[in-house]
Amino acid sequence: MFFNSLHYAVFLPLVVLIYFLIPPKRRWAFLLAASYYFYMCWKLEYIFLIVISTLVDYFAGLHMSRTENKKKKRTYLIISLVSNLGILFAFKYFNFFNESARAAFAHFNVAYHIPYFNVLLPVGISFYTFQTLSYTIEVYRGKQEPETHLGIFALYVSFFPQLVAGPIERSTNLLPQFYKKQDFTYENATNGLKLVMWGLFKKVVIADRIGVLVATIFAQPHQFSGVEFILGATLFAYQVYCDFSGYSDIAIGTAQIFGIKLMTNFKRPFHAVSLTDLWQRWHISLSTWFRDYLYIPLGGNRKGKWRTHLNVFLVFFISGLWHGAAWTYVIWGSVHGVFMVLELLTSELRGKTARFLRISQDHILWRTLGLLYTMTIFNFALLIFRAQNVRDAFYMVGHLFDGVGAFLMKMAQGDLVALRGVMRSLGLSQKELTIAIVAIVVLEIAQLMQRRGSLRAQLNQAPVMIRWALYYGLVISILFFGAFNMSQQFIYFQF
Amino acid sequence: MSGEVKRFIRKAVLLLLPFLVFGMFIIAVDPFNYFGFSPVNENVKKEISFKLNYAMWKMYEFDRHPAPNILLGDSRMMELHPEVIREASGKNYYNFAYGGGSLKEAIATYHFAASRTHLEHVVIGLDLNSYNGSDLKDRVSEVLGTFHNPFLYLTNNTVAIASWKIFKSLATGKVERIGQPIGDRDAFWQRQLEITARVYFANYRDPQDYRKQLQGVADQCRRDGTRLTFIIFPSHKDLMEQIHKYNLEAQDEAMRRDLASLGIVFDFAWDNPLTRDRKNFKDPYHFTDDIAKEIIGVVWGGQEGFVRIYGDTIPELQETVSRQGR
Repeated sequence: MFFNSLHYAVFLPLVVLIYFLIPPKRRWAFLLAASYYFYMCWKLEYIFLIVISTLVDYFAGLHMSRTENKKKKRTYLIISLVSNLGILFAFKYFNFFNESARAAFAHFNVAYHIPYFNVLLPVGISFYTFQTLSYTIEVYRGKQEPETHLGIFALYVSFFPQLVAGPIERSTNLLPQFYKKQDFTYENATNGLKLVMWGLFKKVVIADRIGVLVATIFAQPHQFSGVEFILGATLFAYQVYCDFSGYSDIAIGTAQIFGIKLMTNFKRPFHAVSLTDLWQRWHISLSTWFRDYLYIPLGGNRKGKWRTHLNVFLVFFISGLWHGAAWTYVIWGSVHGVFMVLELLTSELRGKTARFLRISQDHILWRTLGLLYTMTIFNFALLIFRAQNVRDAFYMVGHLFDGVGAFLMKMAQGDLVALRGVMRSLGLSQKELTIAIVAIVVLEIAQLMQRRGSLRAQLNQAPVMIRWALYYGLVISILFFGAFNMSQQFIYFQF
Repeated sequence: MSGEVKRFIRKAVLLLLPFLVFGMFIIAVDPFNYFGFSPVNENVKKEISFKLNYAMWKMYEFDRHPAPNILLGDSRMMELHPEVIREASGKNYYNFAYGGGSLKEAIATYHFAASRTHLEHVVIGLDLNSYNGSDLKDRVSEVLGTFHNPFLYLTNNTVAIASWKIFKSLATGKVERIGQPIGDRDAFWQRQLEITARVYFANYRDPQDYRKQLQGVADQCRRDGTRLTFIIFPSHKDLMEQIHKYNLEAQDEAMRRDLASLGIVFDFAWDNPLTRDRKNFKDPYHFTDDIAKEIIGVVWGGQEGFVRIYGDTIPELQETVSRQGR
């Protein structure tokens, strides 16, 4: 069941209605049933994986709390890690490593007999695995009391708004909220719905619309040249951002209707002035997860300069692998890792340069340069991320500037025929181009406004006529300019 | 019911009511006859909706009245009128071509038609403009989606625009004209050569996918016992010279070879008195009504004309034939 489907449009109001009609003591059971139903709409039997993770971590947490013996505690933690990561490995990574080994063996003409594991990747497995792991790690560290109510714990693992694509919630934030008696409030419902609508706008009006063009370019890169590759990477940046942040908005908005507050997952990442800045704004729930449960345990920045750099690189390398079981993701993560290390290495030099030029690092020129640098690296890495395979990725990188000079010359001369040619080759009509551009401009205006604080807070202070005009505008945009027909599942579901 | 709930319901109704009214308005006007019980005059609808989205109009129409013989292609194929073809062949054809149509749309339309009825004869009109990997226009997919989901029809922006224009025409008694007149013929002729041809040919890409997809069409036609015919329409020599200008002669020849391996090809696009004479064309791409009748006479009436016929599915036509006895 997708958030952008009619199925969900029926499911959500029904769940909200029943949730607030039943006695508060029984609500967790209903929400758990609804969450399991939500997940089972994809593949019925995969609910067992969630149930296994839930049971393992529930009992691991209980046992850890009942013993003072550090060794025993560690054993329970290891059981949790091995079970969860084992399932993740079997379903997500086994074939990747197996096929890579097969290719390596074939290269040396050595027979290799381990068969392919014919299995479908369970939706959102990386998300709920990381979420439930954070619970056992926190219990192990003594920062989280073990959850004694199995039903509430199961709901924490499977709460439907954020089950398949996050935000990856921390038990310290989410678990206590399930115990609070939540009443239906006008404010929660309307604010939640506003966020749901904004998320839908990003998903169906921007992401799905430009997703068709992106798919065209990346499906057959050999048919295209540099102009399309640069366009494809730039559009994919918007697609993936609108798709994923749109999902997060819908998830956070949906949870808010139930009175539950989820963590913020995106903070205007395209306004970042460095990659370090970007990763504090993009997929925050994952970045902080890696910080808390990988970077810091590896030693963080406490073990010297070079170890810090290695830790940073490792985090991004593993983050690449988290995103997908393919070499393109590994390379993508590594590219980010390398540039993050370079940023660390040059931070002093950049500070000196700014002082030499007598400009502050908050100066608009400095920030603009930083923004251009960040988006260039980010988009370049996305080209690799989105490529169908490493060969395509290298082809696109190798031909990134083919024909770009000639195209720019023609455009500079006011010759728009070249642009029409590009549009035609992407199957893009003028109407679609206009819708996409206007929608992106709306998005950017909204993001600029977000610099002054929450959009919803600003909206709530606006005159009623403007507010309602915007509500109608948003609904009209979604209904009439949303690419429901080209409807695609959310990109991050596959991770 | 608490005050909070009542307040929420009141505001939700206020937000949604206009959309419900709008939905009822679309159902009442039903510009493309999706629901089929609208009281609005069919001619007014056709005048507006048809021109706003050929694919949507024709696919719904075909769905209601399937025909065993179809014509696929672009605006040039649209000029071959089924009534004239019926006179020449005695058979009913449905003109399933779209103005500005792409080969992608033609192939998708073929599959749509084949899923609706048993096809006896499929005629695809194309040339190097459309047999071009860089032409990916697609208006068919969005229409296909609406067949299973009325919500997509109700929220389609072309449907909304058509409904409004039809409503306005009914209210004012004046049917709105869709599209712009061509204006000065010579200027338009030149623009077609300098700009449109450049858009098509400067970005020409090997049509790998089309080759495979047409092979799929040919295979399915063979299995279903459907005759498959291609028409390469005549274009004025000024336009054909553009093929040389962009060094696409080899691709032009390859297209003919590809098509000949799939079905019968009626090739009108070569240097002959017809393509040399500007009077036979409205612009470098589009032939006149008289030429359209001649094409019908050749393809369906067995008349002679400036055509080369080739193909490997009928033994006697394996050799290239040139009949110039007009």
